[in-house]
Amino acid sequence: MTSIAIDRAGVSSVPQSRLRIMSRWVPFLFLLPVAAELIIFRYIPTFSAFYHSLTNWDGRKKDAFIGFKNFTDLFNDNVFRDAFVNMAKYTSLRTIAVLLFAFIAAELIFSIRNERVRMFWKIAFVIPLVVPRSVIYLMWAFIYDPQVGLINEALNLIGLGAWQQPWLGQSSTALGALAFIGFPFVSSLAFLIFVASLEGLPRDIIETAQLEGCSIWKRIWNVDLPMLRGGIVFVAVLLILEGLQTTEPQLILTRGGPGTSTELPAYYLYRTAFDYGKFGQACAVGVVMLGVGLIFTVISMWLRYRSAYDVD
Amino acid sequence: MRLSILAKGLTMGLMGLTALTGAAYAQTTVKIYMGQLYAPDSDPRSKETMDAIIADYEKLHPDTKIEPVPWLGGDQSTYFAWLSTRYAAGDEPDIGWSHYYTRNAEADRWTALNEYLDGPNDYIPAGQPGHDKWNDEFFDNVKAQIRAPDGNWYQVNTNWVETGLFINNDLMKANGIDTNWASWTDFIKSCKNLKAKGIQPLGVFATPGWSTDQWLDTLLISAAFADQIPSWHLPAYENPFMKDRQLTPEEMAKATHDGKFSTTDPRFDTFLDLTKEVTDNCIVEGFAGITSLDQIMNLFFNDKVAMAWLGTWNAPTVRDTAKFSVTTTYFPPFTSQNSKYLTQPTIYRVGGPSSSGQFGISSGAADRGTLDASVDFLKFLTAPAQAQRIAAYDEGNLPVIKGVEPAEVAKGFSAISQLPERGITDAVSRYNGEQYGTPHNRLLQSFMLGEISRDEMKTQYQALLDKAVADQCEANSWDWCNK
Repeated sequence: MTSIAIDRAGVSSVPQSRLRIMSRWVPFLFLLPVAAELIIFRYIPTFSAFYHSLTNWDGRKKDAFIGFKNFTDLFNDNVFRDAFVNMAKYTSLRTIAVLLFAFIAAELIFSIRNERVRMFWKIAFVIPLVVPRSVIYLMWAFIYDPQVGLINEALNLIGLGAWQQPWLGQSSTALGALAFIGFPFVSSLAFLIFVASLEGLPRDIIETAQLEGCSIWKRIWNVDLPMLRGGIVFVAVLLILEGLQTTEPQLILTRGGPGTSTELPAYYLYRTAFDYGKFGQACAVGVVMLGVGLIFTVISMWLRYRSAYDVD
Repeated sequence: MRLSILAKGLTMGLMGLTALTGAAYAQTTVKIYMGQLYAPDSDPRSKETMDAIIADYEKLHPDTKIEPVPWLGGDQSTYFAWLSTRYAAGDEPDIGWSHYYTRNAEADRWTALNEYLDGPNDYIPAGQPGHDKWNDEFFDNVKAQIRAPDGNWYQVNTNWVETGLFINNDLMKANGIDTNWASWTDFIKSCKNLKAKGIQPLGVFATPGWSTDQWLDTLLISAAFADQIPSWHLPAYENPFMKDRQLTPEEMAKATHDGKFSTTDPRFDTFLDLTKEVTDNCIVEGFAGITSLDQIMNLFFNDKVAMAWLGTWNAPTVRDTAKFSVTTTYFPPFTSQNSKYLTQPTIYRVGGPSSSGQFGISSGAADRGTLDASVDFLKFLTAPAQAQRIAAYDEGNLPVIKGVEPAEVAKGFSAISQLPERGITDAVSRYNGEQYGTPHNRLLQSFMLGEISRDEMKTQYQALLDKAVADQCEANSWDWCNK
């Protein structure tokens, strides 16, 4: 029979060996639920998708092995190829725009000296983050509406009626219009990360730069940007993965059209599975997306760590 | 003695308890999804009526519990995504709503109802159609249209829809536009006049998914191939009730296989000409960026379009919302001036079984032991007594059960329902699957916008037709496929 004695200070006198064992195993115990969740809901479905991508699974009964037919069908489908080209355009546009505008907003906030004013603007910029995405897309549907939309009405008001466009109703503008949803992108996770990173910069470096007569532009270029590299790459990776997984604007605003102009891989996957009932082929799309996502993530990480000042 | 009485009492009690428990275990639960016919949040009347119908049924069958799933909201793709997921999990409703063409394309998900339809429906009074043979209570033309390519019925239809042209009379009068069109050419002239006055004529939208342009598309393509369509009919699908019926997926596939429906046929050019004419002159600008009928109604209610092509199901909303005088009419007939392949001036109705009352039984119901109860409840639900109760609140649909009267607001569509049936159906069901309809819509959308040339359109479209036929032949092994 064992017992744990408590001394006067209330500290347990558990044998050191047991403490060592506990300190080694307890973290794993706490990690167990998370690991279980990851295995059940992430890894098993992922490996299952690899298997099903080689079958003609219809989500219910049919599940025969068909080799790489799903993959050859995919790469022979011009809609799928267009979806990847669109994804590259959409993601590039959005990544550049979000990084740029969020960074500018973060620098503007960072330059405010009054703590209370700075806090006010941070809150003002972050509050819209709680608005559900579907609501944002519906709001932008009204903004882009060719008949009653805000943009066309505004153009008309300032005498630029000739510039009015059916923004979502023609291939030349539809993808760009989707990429600019959320403009000016200040209410974003990117903004939060940049503000936090800037506020975390060592004050002595900033002050030294100021004392040395360094202009704001030089400071941003030579101090802020290099020191924010981790945050920038992190945001870029998130944006690339988001671009790869985007379906909401298609579901709400364009259905992938006009033509194939706003088709993206994730929406292609959704339609293949749920509209066409071709779950095997949808899994093949998922496998290709996973591969592309991994490649971009590895490249981004390599860029982040390549001769980084903050990593050994 | 006392002990013996006690023992007997205990035994009786235990037996009673066992019987009760047994009865409880024997209770069958039938899960049903009725779409908008059971929408507690948005339409309390639907819940009130359906709950009352279910209560009446459960009173007759204490061993069966009917569990309605409330309407999911959103559009059809939300529902189909939900249904696919439920099927994958083996947890789909026993009785479910679906479009007849989607259901026929996914026949393995549903139970063939033929043997039940041939049997009696005891919920219909003796002497009335359907009492001896359940199938007799439904309209014959509807039954003909919902029959699957394999010859089975996977659903019963309690109602159907019509579509109509809703006209803003005040706007038309103020601009001196006469809407008593004698022909399609007159209609196009009115569109041109409206456009010249800066008014967008017609609220129709086009997307790669479902859209009202699909309706327009079927009118135009049916008019362009009018002289050929009857010769594509196959004996297996002929029925005395529908002379002017829509082609089935097999008939469509065979006509394509035989080169009768092809982009090299001059009729296809007529179809493209008609499409371009109506797009350039009538359809609202930005039509390819509009994704729902709600957006079209919004334009109509705000005087942004002079006319809107809507369905019977929109009629109650138009009645309750429009701040101007509205006339419900239909398009005038095409003449030989529009398509030289027409045998006589004709316009086709666009409507049909795609309505709120399309119910089938999951193929999983047999495995779950709920098939008999599901069939029985479906018989109860479709009996005229119940169908009339539903028709009273489901005003925008026309009942297709003998002896059931439509609501007042739907009666205006009766004349439209007498028009001939279009020969070629919506692109999503033309070749038995949305995987052919979506690319069709994409190509049409690009052509209408002038983003691809006619030749490019024809080349890509022919490739799509060939693929559809190859896939359908592989899936159905029709005997003509290898000839």
